[in-house]
Amino acid sequence: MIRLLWVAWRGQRAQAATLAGVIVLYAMAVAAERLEPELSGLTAQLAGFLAGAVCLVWGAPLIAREFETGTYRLAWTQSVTRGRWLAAVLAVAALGALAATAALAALLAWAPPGGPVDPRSWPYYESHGVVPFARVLFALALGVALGAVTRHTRVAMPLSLLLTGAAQLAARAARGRADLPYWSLQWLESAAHLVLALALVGVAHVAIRRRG
Amino acid sequence: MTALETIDLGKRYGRRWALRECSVALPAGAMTALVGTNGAGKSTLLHLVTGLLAPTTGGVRVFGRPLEMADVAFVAQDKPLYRRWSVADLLRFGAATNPRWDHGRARSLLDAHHIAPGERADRLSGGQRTLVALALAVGKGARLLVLDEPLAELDPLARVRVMRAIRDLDATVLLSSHILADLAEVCDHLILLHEGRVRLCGAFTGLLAAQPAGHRAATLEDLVLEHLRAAGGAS
Repeated sequence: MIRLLWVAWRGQRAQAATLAGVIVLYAMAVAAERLEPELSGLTAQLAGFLAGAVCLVWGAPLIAREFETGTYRLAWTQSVTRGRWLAAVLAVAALGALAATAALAALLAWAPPGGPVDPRSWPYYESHGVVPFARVLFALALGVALGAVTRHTRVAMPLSLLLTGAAQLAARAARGRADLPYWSLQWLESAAHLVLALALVGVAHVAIRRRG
Repeated sequence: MTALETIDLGKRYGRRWALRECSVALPAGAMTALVGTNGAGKSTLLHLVTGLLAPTTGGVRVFGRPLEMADVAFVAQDKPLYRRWSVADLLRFGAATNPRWDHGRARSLLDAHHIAPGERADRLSGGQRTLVALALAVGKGARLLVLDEPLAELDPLARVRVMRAIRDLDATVLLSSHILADLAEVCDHLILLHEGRVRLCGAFTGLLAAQPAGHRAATLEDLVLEHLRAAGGAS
């Protein structure tokens, strides 16, 4: 399994580097905020876009590109089952997405708050606690599933971005109705995102299964 | 011993049968040419025997057992490789995904053709790409090798090199091609597909000897063309 994880990592290095680049740009913006206090609060507004970036650059192309370049015929004719191949590929992608989220959380803690903090404001709520980790996994799974079903990056990428945004708006509407304490809401919403992510992984698995 | 056996194998897409009632048996050690016009069902058959596709009817047996991925190595049409990986990366991929991986065999095929491990896949020539794909298949350690149009889009020199590499393989080989004259040199068995059905299957010598009276095809090429003409006239 370790060697299969190397294969998955070799295939996703470019995506990891792109996402790392996004985080570095974000870090530079935070540093600018610290130097110029008038800019404070700007980066906090942008933190929620990480899930969109993950589904766009990492999730959607993951399987769609195998179909577009024809390399699925190489990957799926070795001695490893498609299920194990998918598990390895998803493990690497999920670790990368979680690492990026953790880096972003650390940067947010370092950024100047720019005024009084309202933990119930959606941009703050969505980028703190456990919700951003669950959301990023959901966005990744959404991109992967759409890529596996549509088999085209040019369809899967915009569609997954659109649906990630729609899911975010839906979550905001649902939160507005739920009258729960902060952490109860965080855990409940994270659990819902993770259940959806698992269902989407199931969709991706069915989509790449051999069809009779 | 039978290396590959298909029993009433069929694949349907919607209402169209890409392959129907395909029952063939290839002996171990045979080099079999799979021949047919475009859309005859060649790639469908090859994808069924390599497990890329699941059959609508029938089944595939490899060396007497139901198909297992480790028993068949495949070089797909256009020789798909991860473009930005080095040759060494691709060999590591082969080692990681195949329990019977034979690094020595893969490596020696590449060495024989002076392909360096540091070379990136997208910088290789067509002939070199084919040889790298072939090395991956050889390294898998499967006794049955399936090659889909390995000679397509190669210049004449590269074609000769690839042909020699295929001829020297120590395995049972099933390969599809359009180039009939070349196949006669390396292959000893033939499967002719037309409109999704098997029209001819057997050893060259047997097929040439078994022609009905009045048919005097002397070469494989003549035999195939004669059958295709007859099939075209019938439909």
